[in-house]
Amino acid sequence: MAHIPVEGAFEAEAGAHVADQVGFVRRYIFSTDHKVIGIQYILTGLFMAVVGTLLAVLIRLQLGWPAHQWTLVGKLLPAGMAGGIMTPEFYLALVTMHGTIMVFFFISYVLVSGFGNYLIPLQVGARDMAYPFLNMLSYWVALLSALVMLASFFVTGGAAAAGWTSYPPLSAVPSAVPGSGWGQTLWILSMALFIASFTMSSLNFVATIFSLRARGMSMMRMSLTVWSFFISAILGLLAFPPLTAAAVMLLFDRHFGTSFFLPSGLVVANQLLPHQGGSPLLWQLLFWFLGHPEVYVLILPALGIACDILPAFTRKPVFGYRIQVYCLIAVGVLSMVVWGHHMFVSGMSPFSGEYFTLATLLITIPMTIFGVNMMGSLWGGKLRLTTAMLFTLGVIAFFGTGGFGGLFLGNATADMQLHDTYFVVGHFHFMIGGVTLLATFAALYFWFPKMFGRSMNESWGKVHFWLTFIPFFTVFFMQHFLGLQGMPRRYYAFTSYEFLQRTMGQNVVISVAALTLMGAQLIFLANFCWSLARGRRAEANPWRATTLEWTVDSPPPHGNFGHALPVVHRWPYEYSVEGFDADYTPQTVSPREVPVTA
Amino acid sequence: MTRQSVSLPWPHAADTESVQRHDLVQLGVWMFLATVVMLFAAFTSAYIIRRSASDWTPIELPWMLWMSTAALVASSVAFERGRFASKRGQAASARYGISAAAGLGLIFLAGQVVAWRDLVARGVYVPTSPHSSFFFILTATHGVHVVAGLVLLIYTVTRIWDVGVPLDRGAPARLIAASATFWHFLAVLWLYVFVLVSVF
Amino acid sequence: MAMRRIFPLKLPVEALLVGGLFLLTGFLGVGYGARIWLPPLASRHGAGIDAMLTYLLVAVGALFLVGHVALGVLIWRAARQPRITHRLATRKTEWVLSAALGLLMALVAEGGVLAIGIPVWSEYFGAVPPRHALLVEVTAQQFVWNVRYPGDDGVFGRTDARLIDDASNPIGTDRDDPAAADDVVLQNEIAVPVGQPVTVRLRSKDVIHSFFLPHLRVKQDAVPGMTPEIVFVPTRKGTFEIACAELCGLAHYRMQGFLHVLSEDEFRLWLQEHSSGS
Repeated sequence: MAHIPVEGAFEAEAGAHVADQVGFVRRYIFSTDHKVIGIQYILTGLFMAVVGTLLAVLIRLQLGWPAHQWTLVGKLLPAGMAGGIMTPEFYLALVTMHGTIMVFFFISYVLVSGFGNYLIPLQVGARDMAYPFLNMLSYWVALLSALVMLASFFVTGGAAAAGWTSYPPLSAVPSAVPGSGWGQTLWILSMALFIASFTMSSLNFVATIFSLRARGMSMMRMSLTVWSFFISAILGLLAFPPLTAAAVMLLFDRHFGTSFFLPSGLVVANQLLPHQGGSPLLWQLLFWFLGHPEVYVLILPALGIACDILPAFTRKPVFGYRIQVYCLIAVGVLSMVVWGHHMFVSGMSPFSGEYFTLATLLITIPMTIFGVNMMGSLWGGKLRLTTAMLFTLGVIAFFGTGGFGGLFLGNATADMQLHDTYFVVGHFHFMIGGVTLLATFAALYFWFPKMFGRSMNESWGKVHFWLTFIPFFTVFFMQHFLGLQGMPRRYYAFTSYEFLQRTMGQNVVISVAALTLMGAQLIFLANFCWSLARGRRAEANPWRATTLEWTVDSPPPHGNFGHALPVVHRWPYEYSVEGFDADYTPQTVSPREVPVTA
Repeated sequence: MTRQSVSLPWPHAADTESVQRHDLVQLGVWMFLATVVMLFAAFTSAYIIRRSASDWTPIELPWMLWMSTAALVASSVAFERGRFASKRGQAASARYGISAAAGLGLIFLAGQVVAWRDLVARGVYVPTSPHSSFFFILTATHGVHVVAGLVLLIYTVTRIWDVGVPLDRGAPARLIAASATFWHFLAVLWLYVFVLVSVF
Repeated sequence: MAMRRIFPLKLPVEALLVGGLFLLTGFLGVGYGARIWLPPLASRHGAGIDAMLTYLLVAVGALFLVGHVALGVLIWRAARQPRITHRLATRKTEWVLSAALGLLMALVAEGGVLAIGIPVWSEYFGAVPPRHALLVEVTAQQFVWNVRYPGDDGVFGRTDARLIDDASNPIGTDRDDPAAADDVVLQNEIAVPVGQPVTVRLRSKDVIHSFFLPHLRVKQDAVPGMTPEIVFVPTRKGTFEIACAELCGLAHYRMQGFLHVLSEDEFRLWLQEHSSGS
C-alpha cells in the first residue's frame, strides 16, 4: 500500500483542507468537508422549499377561490396580483416555478445532494468524498443555479411560464407567453448550471461508493441508502446529458434563429415566424429521456433511506435485503426505457404506445416487491413509534398510493382520458412530492442528532407528522378524482366550464387542506431552529443503530473516523442477534464477539 | 520534493490505512466520458430525427476540417509515443511527445476556427440550414471538450516538466494515463462527429 | 417528559392511533373513490376506455385497501410486542414472496392491459377511418379552435401560413383555390351527426394544444407541423364542451369550444345556416 499516501497528497493539494489550520471561512463556507457541504445543501434546499411552498399557497388561493380579492396579498405582490386578483401570467409563472423549485432545488438538494453528501462517506467508511474539491465546486454552482432561478422572477415578463416541462414552441417563442422572454432564458441557464452541479455530485457519489469503501465493506454489505444513492447517481449521470443537449438546442432556437424544435409556418400573435422544419416532439423525446429517470433519481434515495430507518425502530433486519438491491437495479434499468409514456397522446405511433405501456407496467413488479418487503420489515418487529418512524411508515403508504396511480397513467388506454389532468398532478405529488417529502422529514428527524449533536423535539415532531400526513393525503388523493372528472392541469380558473362546476366544492376542500399542510410546516421550521440551539444533546448512537456513522461522535469530527478507518465485519442490519443482550450489533463488531447472521 | 512528504488532510490519520480500490483520476475520467457519450448520443438522435424533415439541405463542409482532423490524429499519436516513452523511462522524449500533443491540439482548435470562418465567409451561418445548425453546435460542443482536454494536457505537461520526477510510476504515471484516456477519446469523438456531419 | 404532555397515554394508544390512521386511510380512500366520477359517456370507443378505467379502479382499489389494512394491522401488532417475533426470513421465503408478487402484478397490470387496454387502443388508433366518415378540420391557435368543413365538394381549399391574418383569414385559406369556395370556417363550434363516424384532422398554428372532449373520452395533442387524425362516433345528442389539455399560454384556461351532436337533419340544417354566413 505504499502508493496510497501519494493519492492523499494529490487530494490534499487540490483541496488543501487541513482541519486544524483553517479558519472559519474555509471550514464552514468554502469547505471541502462532505458533511459541511451536505448541510449547506440541506439548508439551501430548505430555503428553496419555503419559496416553493409560498408559491403553492398562492396557487391554492387562486384555485380554491378563483374570483376572490386578496387585498393584503395584492399589496405584497403588486405586479402579479394587482388589487388582490392574480393575473393569468403570474399564475402560469407560479405553476412553472413551483414545479421547478420543488423538483430540482428542494428534493434534489436536500434529499439527494444533501443527504447523499452527508451519508455516503460516513456509511461506506471513508474520510471524505473521492473528489472533495469537485464537491465544493458542485455546491457553489448549485447555489448559483438557485439564485439565477430566483432572479428570473424579477426580469421583464416575469419568470418562465411554459410549465416545468418547457415544451416548445411555447417556451421557444418569446411572443407566445410573457414568461417566454428573459424568464425562460434564465430558466435554461439555471438548469444548465444545475446539471453541471448535479453531474459533479453524481461523479463523486459513484466514485466514493465504488472506490472508497472501508475494509470489509463489500457491495453486499452496503446499506440500502448507499445502494439507492449509487443507482440514483448512475441514472443521473446517464440521463442528464440529453437534457443538456436539448437545452442547448432550445437556447439556439430562441436566440440564434435555428429550427430544431420549431416547424415551418408558425404564426404567433399574427406574425409569421421564419423557422422551418423543426419538430416540437423532438424536445419531448429528449426531455422525457431525462425526465423519467429523474423521477427515480429522486425517489430511489427516498426508498433507500426509508428502508434503513425501519430496522432501527423495528429492532430486526430489513426484510429481503438482497431482493431490495435487485429491485433498485431493475427499476434503474427500466426507468431508462419508458420515457414515452409521457407522450401517449402527442401523436406518437400506436405501436410505440403499446410498447411503452407494457414496459412501463413492468416497473410495477420490482416496485411492488420493494414496497411489500418494506412492510415485511415490520412483520414480527418491536416497533418504536418515533417521529422518524412515523414519517417512514408514511413513506410506505404514499409509495403504495402513488404507485397505484401509476397503473392508470402508464396504461395508454386509460391515459387518453387522464393525460394532463389533475390525476397526473395527484400522482406525481404522491411520488416525487410525497414519498420524497416524507422521506426527507424522516431523514431529518433521524440524522439530525448526528449532524448537529442535538435531537429534535419528538412531541412537536409527532404533531408535525399528523398535520402533514392527513392534509397531504387529502389534497393529492382528491386530485386524482378531479382528474377522473376531466379537470385539466395548469388552468388558471375552471369557472367557465359546465362539466367542471361540480369540482368547485372539492377544490375548496383541497385548498383548505393544502393551506393546513403548508401551515403545519411552520411547526417543523420552528422545531428545526429551536432544536439547533436548544435541542437535547445527542449521544453518538441515540437510536441504537448499526451503520458506521453511529460509531463516531455526534457530530462526527473532520475526517470522520479519528485515527483509523473502520473495518467492517457484517451487513448493516444486525439487530437482535439471538443470545446477546444488546439488540443491535454495529457493523464494526468482529464476528468473534457476535456471530454474523447474514 | 517527494510527494509522500505532504501531510495528509486528516492530521491524526494513520498513513497506511486507506482501502481505495481504484485509481480515482482514471475512474473520474471514465465516468465523465460516459456523460459525454450520452450528450453526443442525444445530439445524434436529434440529428437523425431532424434529418428526416423536408427542409434538410446539406452544406458543403470546409476542406480545412481534413487538416484539423489530421492535426488531432497526429496529436493522439504524439501523445501515445510520449506515453510509451514514459513507460520505458525515457523522460525527455515523453515530455516532448506530450507537449507536441498539446501543441497539435491547439492547431486542431485553430483549424476548427478557420473552418468556421470559411463557412461564415461563404454566407453559411448557424440558422442557414439544419445541417449548418448541427455542424456549428456539434463542433462547438466538441471544441469545448477539447479546450477542457487541453487544460488537462497542459497541467500534465507542467507536472512532468521537472527533471527528476520519475514518469513510469506513481502519480505522474496515473496522471499521464488519465489524460491519455481523455485525449484519445476526444480524437475518436471528433472522428465520429466528422463522419456524422459529412456522411449523414 | 415532553412527549407525555402531547400523548399522555401509554404506547398501545399510539399504536392504535397510528395503525388506525393507515387502516382508515384504506377504507376512507376506497369509500371516497367508489363514487362515479367520469363525465357521462357520449362516444362509442369511450366504452372501452371506461371499461379499462373501471377495471383499474376496482383492481387498484382492492390492492389499495388490502395494502393499507395490512399496514395498519402490522403496525398495531408490532407496536405492542415486547420483543421481536420474527427475525430473518429464509431466502426461500423471500424469493417465493417476490415471485408471487411479481406474478400478481404481472397479472393485474400487464394482464389488464393486454385483455382490455390494448384492443381498445389499437382499435382506436389502428382502425382505418371509414370512407363515409364526416371530415372536420380543427386548427388550434392561441386561444381559439378554428373549425373547417370541406363543403359539398368534400375537399378542403389550400392553406398557406403566409396568408394568415387573425382577423380576416385565421387559417390562411388560399381564396384563389376553387376548392376553398364552399369551405365552411367557424370558430369554437363543431356540429356532427349522432351515430356517425367523425374524423377530426388536427392542426396547430402556433404552439402545442390538446383537443380534449371529456365526455367523448377523446384527447389528442395538436402539434404544429403535424396533422394527426382522430376518429370517433358520438352516441348521444347534446352539446359537449371542448377543453384544451396542453398548456398553450395565458388564456389556456378559457380555450373553450363546443361540440354539438345533432340528428342527421338538424346537422344538415345547421351546416347550411353556417355556410351561408361564411
